[in-house]
Amino acid sequence: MQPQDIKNQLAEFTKIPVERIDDDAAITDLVSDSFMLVEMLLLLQDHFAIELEQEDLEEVISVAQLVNLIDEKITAMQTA
Amino acid sequence: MDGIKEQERWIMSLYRYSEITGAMFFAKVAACMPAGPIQVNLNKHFADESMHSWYWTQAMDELGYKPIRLANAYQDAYLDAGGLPVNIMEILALTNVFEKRVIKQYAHHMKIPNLNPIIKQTIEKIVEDEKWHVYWINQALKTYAQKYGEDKVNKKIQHYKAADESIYQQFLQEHKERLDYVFESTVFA
Ligand SMILES: [Fe+2]
Ligand SMILES: [Fe+2]
Repeated sequence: MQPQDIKNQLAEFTKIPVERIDDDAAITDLVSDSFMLVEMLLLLQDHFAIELEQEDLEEVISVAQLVNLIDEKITAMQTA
Repeated sequence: MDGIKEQERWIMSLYRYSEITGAMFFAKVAACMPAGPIQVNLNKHFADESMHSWYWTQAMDELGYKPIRLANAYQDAYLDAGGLPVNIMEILALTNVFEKRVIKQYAHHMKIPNLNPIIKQTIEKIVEDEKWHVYWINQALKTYAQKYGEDKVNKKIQHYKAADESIYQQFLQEHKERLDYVFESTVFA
């Protein structure tokens, strides 16, 4: 359920219907500018009670990669 | 409009737009922050930047300059060169570096001989707030140093300092003609 929850949050923030958020889409295509991307990342961290760092996102381009990263962080938090 | 006035109009437009961009950025960050002392300071910071843009708008209006619509804000270059900050510590590290650059730039501007009193008063009023911005962010970064470790916070600041230096040099090169009067300080002498 976790990856779907994450996508639902992306949809809620961007107001794009979740079924239209393609896994291969670039995360920068979901937002209108970099400020909105920062805002989205802050809200996702708050919502899932995780912490991201700049380095975590170095390789993240697509929605699927972002969802994976957040999923891993949630799992790590739960097992910590 | 003569050359100097055109340069003055351009740089005031740049300051104005940079303050607007700062306000918009901190509005978003303040809206996301959970309640607490950082939220309070961030909200004040956002309100200040918004007022600064108003002071420049007012000053330009008094001087009869129409603000130029700029395509990019100075801050955009930070995100390109330094990468996107993704947590509040990184945002504050970037802002710490940026605010110091702003203060330095305004200090440079104040050195122009016979500076127009409207511009002088505007800068003086803004710099008071900018100093507080550096202060509260430094204090906040100290608390984040306890969480992330001093080393990590310092590394982040150094990372953005390196980006800042290259951005500023590039900016000076790109707008050399427009900035000459600020840096050569002879035009009004
Ligand atoms: Fe400002
Ligand atoms: Fe500021």
